[in-house]
Amino acid sequence: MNGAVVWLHEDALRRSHPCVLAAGDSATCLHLWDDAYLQSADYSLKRLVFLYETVAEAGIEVLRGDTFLTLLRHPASQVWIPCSPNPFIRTVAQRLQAHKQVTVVDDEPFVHMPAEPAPARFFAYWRKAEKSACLRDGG
Amino acid sequence: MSAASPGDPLPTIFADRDALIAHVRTLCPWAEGEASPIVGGAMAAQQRLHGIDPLRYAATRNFGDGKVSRLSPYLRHGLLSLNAVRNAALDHGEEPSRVLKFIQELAWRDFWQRVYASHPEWIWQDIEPYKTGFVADDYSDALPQDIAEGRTGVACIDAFIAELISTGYLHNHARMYVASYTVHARRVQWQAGARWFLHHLLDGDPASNNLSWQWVASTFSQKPYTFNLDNVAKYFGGQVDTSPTANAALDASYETLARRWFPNLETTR
Repeated sequence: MNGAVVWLHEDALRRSHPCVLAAGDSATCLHLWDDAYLQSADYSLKRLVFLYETVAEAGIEVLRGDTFLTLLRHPASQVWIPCSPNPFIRTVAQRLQAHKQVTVVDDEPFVHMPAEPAPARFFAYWRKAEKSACLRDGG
Repeated sequence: MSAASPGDPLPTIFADRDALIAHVRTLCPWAEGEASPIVGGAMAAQQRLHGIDPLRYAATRNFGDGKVSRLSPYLRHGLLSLNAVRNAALDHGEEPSRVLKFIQELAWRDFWQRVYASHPEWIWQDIEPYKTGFVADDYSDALPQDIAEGRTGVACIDAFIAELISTGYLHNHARMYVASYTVHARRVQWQAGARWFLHHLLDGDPASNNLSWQWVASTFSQKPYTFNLDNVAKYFGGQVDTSPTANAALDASYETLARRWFPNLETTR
């Protein structure tokens, strides 16, 4: 057992995320600066600066490299990952499961209702969500 | 980096913002443009959160100078949770009904994320056919250069594009105008516009952005979203040039524009 890391990817750039709390005080928070991913996302300098100054201010360790390989080669045996619908993040999490103990943690809920399947129109969703949405912490 | 290295550590302490920006430029020489004046980080996010005015949001949100939160870049990248913003909104009103519209806008993001998780294939493909009298192949798959550079000759649209390019942020109503102009007035596939917005927007998110473009295009809604110059003048008259001479392409009634933009539809003949 060589400890744990929390991969704070671009959808979850805060230390108060439930994933960080679940991983425990001894876990290291990492952000991966993956040139190939960022280039494929075609982010302008505006977004890249926004992302970098966010992780820098939070004091999150930044490692440059391929996301999957960097996490694979990291000595930590546990990888904690905030849940995301991003297929890239989901694929990395799935591939890592063959090599590491991977735990995916949801963000704090906005509303309390089943995750899937999503209705095809907003107001079908809203009819189910409104009561919970109007309560602190979703009720 | 050696084969066994877990990744190269990058610095996180800089003398000032300019030094950080220079560092990012070095890391990503392929990235074009300038940095945004909108600053990232938890402190900026908290400052924005403390400044929200959810009680006045409902009455003013469609106006260029309305009380919109501008929290979207911080929500997009998880610096704030929807739950935290909703709870902060509830702190402003004695009754949830007084901040309902603000909460509903947060719910749109929750909805888009659920759709993304359920149907990731919907992000780039037409969910439904266009309801414009045209099929997808009738639309250009490339964004015209004059739109990309904000040189369309339609003053209000060019002003919105200039703001998008320089700040990476655009009021939601202005996004709808630009999207509608691009898809309907210029007959460009929504995917080309969505890709362009994702490039520039700090809050660019495949779910919120692309599904909103599909909503405007009518591939994820019952009808195309349209607007005219009167509407822009009503909501953004104080922010951009809405004179008829500088915006001739939009200076018409909804009926006239519908006949111009959707000549194949029965309802416009």
